[in-house]
Amino acid sequence: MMNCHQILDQYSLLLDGRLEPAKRSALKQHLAACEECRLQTERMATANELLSRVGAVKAPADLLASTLDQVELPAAQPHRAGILQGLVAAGLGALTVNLLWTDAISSGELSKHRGPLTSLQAPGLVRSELLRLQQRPEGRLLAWVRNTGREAEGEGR
Amino acid sequence: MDPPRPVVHGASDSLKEISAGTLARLRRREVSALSEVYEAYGERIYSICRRLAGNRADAEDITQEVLLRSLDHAGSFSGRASFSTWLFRLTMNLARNHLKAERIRHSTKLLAFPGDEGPEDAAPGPAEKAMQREESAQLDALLQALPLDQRSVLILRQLEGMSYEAIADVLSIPLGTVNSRLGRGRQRLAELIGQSELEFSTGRDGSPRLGCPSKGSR
Repeated sequence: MMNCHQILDQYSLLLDGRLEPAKRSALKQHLAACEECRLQTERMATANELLSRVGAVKAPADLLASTLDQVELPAAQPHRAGILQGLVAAGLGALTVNLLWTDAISSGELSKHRGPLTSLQAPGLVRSELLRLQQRPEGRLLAWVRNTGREAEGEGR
Repeated sequence: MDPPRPVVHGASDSLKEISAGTLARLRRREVSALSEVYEAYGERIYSICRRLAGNRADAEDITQEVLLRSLDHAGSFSGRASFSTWLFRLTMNLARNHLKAERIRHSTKLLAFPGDEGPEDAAPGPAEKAMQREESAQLDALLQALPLDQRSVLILRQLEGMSYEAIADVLSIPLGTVNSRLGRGRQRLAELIGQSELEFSTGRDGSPRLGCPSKGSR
């Protein structure tokens, strides 16, 4: 014999169409005899009806936009401008290597400078030579390349 | 006794999946992929969160967190479960954490009528809308009175129309636990309805609805 608590659990399954047919008649019998359970199952059905009728709540219209605002820009977002900038930087990087090798190599502190110069691991420049290089037209290019490199790194974080 | 009709929800249980291409872009943290994820699941995630939290502000916070985390963690999505299951699992976990933290922040006692925060539902006529809003607020009050575990299964089952199996998957609990939480949740709702003088009355269209005698709804 099932107790009232079990009956109500079964009624919950019935609400979802998951109660085996064999158990339905026992449930029916119990409800016919038990006023308390009958009342309770009516309320369960009411609650169920309310839940299924009220349904979904619409999201605020700006929810996606406000979420996208919070996205930190990814490192490798391949939008076109980024690709173009990358190509230009790579080209200028190659030019930089030429400049370094043909013009200004000596010993020194290159490793202290960040950006494409270090990443190319050229033997290095002394500071004064680097400055001289930057003052020439090619040098301004060099500086630009280095800044570009830094920006790209910054984006990566 | 006629057995009540099982609740049937459209396509809710055939969870739409994002394409492999979108997933790949999500893994590369492409923002456009996040928009597509929102397109596919945003409304449902918000709706779940809104009913779980009982208020709009928390629901927005949780939904945003789910979306941002999906971008951060798509790389760890193994593909063992479907993407939608993974995403809803993420939703339920984040909601649980958020609501627990929130409950510690404010002491629990006053959440009596959380639906009171301006219009957010789509609008039919003004009268219908007012009625819907009232019902919606009643539903919030009832749901908020349930323990989170029971509220979760009820929302997934009845608002989302998920199968017991899908719920078990999303909440990572056995099928028997889904059964018992649904049973206990519905019994608790029934008790609350009994206690709170919410009365069963009949609306003009003949459909049952909850009325509140103290407001003279009959």
